[in-house]
Amino acid sequence: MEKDDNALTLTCTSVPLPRTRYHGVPHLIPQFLPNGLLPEGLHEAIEAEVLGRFADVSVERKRLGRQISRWLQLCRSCRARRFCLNGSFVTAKASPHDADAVVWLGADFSDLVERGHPDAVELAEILGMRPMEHLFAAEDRRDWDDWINFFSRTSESATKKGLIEVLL
Amino acid sequence: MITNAAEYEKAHGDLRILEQRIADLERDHPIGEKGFTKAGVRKMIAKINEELAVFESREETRLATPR
Repeated sequence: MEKDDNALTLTCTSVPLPRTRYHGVPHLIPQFLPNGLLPEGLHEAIEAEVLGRFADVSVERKRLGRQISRWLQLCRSCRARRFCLNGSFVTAKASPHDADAVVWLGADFSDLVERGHPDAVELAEILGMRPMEHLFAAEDRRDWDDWINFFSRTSESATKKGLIEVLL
Repeated sequence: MITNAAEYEKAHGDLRILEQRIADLERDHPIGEKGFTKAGVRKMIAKINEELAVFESREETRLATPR
């Protein structure tokens, strides 16, 4: 795994999405476009803003919000680097079916699992053995960029959708 | 969840990307390296295949149902 998260990866061919930085100002997540998607980009937000915006409308959204909170708790405990949310959870759908997310794991995650750190073991189980929990792993910048570009795809090849990066 | 033909086509495109990605990962990283990433790609492939199966069976039922 890479140690420097700002390092350039020369082998990565994907184009990074524009990034909206969070500066402590609430309500930074942009409004939906008419097609119900967020505008293209990786929009930074804190957990409270994400849950307030997306997890407070329907029973299904509240359930997904609880699942995402648990993922974030585990990721923080395991010193993960970055976390990005995708799926119908971050669209205008009233009752989304799922939330997809990718976590960029910390450099010592495998060591934590090996040493039996309970949160690392649970996170490793989610990543590898729980097909109903759509949390996916990135272990370096190449993986992260690949997932971000993959999640940004829409059914129209020229259009990309926006994603939410939850600050850890 | 796939609900229309455009999403069905996109899902097939997604599968092609992921299958290429897992092949690249397996070629560049032997067993024991990038296990969490590989597991995630395989999980996503399984998820998309399941969604395709649900959509196809729903379409088949819809077309077979007499009006």
